[in-house]
Amino acid sequence: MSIVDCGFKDDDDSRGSQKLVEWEPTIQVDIGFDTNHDYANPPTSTPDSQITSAPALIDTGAHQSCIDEALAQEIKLPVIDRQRVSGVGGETEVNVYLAHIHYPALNFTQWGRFSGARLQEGGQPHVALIGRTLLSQALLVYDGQLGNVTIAI
Amino acid sequence: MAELDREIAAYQEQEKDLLKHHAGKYVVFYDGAFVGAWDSFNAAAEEAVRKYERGPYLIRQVGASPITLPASVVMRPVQDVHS
Repeated sequence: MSIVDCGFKDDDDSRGSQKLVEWEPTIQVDIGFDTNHDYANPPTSTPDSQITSAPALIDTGAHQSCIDEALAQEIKLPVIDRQRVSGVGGETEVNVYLAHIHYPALNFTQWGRFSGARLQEGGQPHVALIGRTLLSQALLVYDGQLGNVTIAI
Repeated sequence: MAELDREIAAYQEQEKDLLKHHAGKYVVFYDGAFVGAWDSFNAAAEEAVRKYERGPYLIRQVGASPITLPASVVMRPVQDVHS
């Protein structure tokens, strides 16, 4: 089992707990789509990613994991569907992409369909949302008082 | 995106029949035509990638309901109202 720290530590400028409030639990990920990779038989190798070491938000409020819409278009992920989605802002239609999110620190790759979420457009610092479809396989410990978050898969 | 429009239109034209015979399955449409139905998304995607690489192709679960976006993203304030 791999364990990764996704929280924040105190430094001279601010407390880890406050940074966790601002940034939320964050893990570094690689994102892409590799037609030459055998996704059906992980983890014999790591897929090639078009973007590496990017911040992703661990979001217990998300059902599925999502990839930033602008990033998905920039790295030309295949669009495989469009879907109506709903949230507190109402209902809208988004693209659905075929892609992988690789977690280097966990040596784990999530492959499949990812809805496009307009994160950059809304000023969000993250390029992906890690939803409950991944968290269903993980142990997540959240200590808001210290700013510590740990995920294990 | 015109090609995907064609795949979605083809799906919608056949949706009644798909619901009757493939409810819950993952179907693939390519070049405006039904390719097949699989029990899992991964199986459908693996076949689509093997045959058509980057597409465009539609992969959709027959009869799937909408998903929910996270409230945490939508509710992040765009500016500090106290400044």
